[in-house]
Amino acid sequence: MIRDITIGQYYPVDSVLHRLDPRLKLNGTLLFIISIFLFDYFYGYIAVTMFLVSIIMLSRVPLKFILRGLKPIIIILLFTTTFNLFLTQGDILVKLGFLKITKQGLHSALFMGLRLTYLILGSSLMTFTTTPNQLTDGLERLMWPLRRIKVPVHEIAMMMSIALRFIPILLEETDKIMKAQMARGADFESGGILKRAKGLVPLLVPLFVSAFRRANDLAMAMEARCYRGGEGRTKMKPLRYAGRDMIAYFILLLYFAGIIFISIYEKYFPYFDFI
Amino acid sequence: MIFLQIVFDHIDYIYSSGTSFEKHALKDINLKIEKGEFIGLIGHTGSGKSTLIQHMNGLIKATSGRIYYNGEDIYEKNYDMRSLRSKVGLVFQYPEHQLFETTVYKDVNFGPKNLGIDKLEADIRTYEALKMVGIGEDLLDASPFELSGGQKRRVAIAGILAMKPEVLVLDEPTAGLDPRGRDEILDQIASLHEESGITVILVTHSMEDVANYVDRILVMNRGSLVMDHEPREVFSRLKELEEIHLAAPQVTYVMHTLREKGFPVNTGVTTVDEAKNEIIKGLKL
Amino acid sequence: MEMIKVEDLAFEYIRRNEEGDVESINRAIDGVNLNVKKGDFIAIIGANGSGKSTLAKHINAILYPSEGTVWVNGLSTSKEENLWEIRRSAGMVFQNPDNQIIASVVEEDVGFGPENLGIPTDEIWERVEKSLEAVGMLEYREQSPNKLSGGQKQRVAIAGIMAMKPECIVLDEPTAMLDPEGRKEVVSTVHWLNKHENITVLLITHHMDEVINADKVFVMEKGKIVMQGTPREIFSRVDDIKRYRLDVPQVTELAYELKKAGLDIPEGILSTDELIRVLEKLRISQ
Repeated sequence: MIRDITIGQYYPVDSVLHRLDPRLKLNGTLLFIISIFLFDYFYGYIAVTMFLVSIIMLSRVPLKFILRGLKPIIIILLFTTTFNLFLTQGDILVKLGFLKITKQGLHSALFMGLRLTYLILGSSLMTFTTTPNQLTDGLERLMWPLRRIKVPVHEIAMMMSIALRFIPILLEETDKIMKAQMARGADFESGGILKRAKGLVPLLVPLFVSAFRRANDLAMAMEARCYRGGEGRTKMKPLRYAGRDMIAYFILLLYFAGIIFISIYEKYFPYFDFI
Repeated sequence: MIFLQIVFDHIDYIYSSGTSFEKHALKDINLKIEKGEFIGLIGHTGSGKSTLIQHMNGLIKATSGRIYYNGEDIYEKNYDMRSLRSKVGLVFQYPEHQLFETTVYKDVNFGPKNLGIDKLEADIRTYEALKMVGIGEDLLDASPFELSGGQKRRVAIAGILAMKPEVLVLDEPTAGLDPRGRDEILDQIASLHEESGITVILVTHSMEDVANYVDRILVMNRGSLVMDHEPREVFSRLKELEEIHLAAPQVTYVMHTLREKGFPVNTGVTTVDEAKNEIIKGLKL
Repeated sequence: MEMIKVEDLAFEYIRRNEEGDVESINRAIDGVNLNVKKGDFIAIIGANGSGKSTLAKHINAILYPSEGTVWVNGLSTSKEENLWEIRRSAGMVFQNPDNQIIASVVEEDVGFGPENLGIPTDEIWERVEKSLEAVGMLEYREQSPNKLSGGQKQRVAIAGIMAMKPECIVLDEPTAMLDPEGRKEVVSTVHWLNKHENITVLLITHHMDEVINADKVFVMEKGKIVMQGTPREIFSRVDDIKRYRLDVPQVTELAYELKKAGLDIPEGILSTDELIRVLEKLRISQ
């Protein structure tokens, strides 16, 4: 199960997208997410889909791998769509006993589902094509002005990148401890909430002990390598916008302007006026 | 009479199937283990040793094939998996990382308590198990986190022994211990095997470790069981072992080279003592 | 000049109860003197809890002496202004390979040290490439450390130290969690660096076969250095070694047993080849 989680993973291939500046990708993801919530109509979605498909193709990450990222959220996805499908008031299309599907329900279920899917795909594409370190570097630089108001930007970025590095290790460890306690007859599956919560003690205590030990070791290893905070530190991979980033920004803005145009256009000239 | 305790019948295990991460972790494993055997399981990291032993107590379910415990098919619908886990006691690598209770006693008591036996019986088993691993009564109320590395490990092993398993499987029980600590743990396991007749399966990297104790060695490579013989037979196949990145004990190398140089010595030697006797015999001729 | 000089070092772990009163004092290091020349390969062996890790942490100025002095490259570790220069010149590799790799990409981890030192970007890249090459991990530079074997992770950790251009590397049981193959990888990498880059090495271990090629071996017990000498000198005293909860390589033990049984065999045999040669000579003379 744990192996199936691909959100937040980096997929190492060489593509245009991989080489772009992380700040651009962060800003781009933000714009993309805004764009999918901008309108409710058909043309807009064609535009967004076309944009997403071309980004996926540019990323050179296999489609199968990308789609696997959707697996963990499939339940949420089904839940929201069903919820929208049956509980939206409006013009009734089909009636099955007390359940009824309305035109508005169908519309919002469809677009809600698409939005969620696109949201996950868009943001996971960013993590597939950006190493966690680049990502935190990007965030650090974007948040840099906040230092003026005493936000510890460097420390936050360092904590994030360490967290990202240790998540897979701690997940594996959880799996191992769980198995070891099951071998001692521990039961993580049956019983009521209280029994289950109590049953977690044999898992959580060793996990915390180990996490603290790792944190302690890591702090020592970092100090031994002369780490003393962000002061006077240079970067191995400093962020510098290249020509391609400027082009990408231009395309992004063009896309965003196009989307805004389409959403305004559709408001006045809806394509499917039955919706 | 031969009593087959564990039988692996054409076991295959594949995980993440259908994705680019697909791995064929076990390939057609056939294995018969008799009650009371002392077995060494050896293989390079990633050869499938850990996966194999987790099949023995049902923590991992095979993709195909059957496993029988005491003649019963453990994949049968109504088979009691939890009782299997108490019968096949599995001690994981660095078992001290699983300690969690406030006292040594409570921690060891966790396993037997989970069995649903009465409290007195669970208490008796706890005391016995701690005695078996040489933890004195003065440490019963100590916090397990305050013990030394070797003591922690022994407490963790006692946690499994207290469930009175019929089979004891240990994954690298000596990892990270100093030489004396290593010998102490192995000696304790050996005497446990001798006194109680429990079946022991020792997973290890170290040929020197197994040579002194076990009477049968299983060698794994890339998910397959490639050798299943008594130690001297396994160690006589130096070339094959080297091909799969394993090495025989140093003394075996000494004996093989001596033989090549024309010394009249027996090469089927696995311990320092045996080697000494062979060399003395060979030189006196 | 000595690379490392330890004089009358003592270190105490003080345990206090909730009121802050001293509950117990544990003298983890008790009067240690040690000299390491530039370019030496030194091994320190000792049972668990003998104080060898505590000693190692003093050389990297992670711990400070309770008594006595430690000099690294002529700088006393007790003076705060020397701290960063000492940590740069005496890099440290720890036991658990996972808990010392900071970045999620191999090359970025190797660059971590130089980044902290404020090295210009271009030079960081040069150093990273050279260091990864020196430990034979260049082809893995863009990989995630999680996908590497234990031995490979330790080599990345060593590269991370090398990128800081140290004069000395202290390795605190770097092989304790590795399989035999990983151990071989790490030890031969360290030997290579010692020989070709003239790095002073201080290897702490309890695998006896890893120390037979060291220039000098120190044996620790209960915070004291109880034996020192060449590997041959140390391993010819099999009984002493065993008394300190340690062991000797299997061939050494075999040779020792043969000698005890009356064969004319010299003390401190360290390798299979050596023993074979001696036995051949014996046979001819008979």
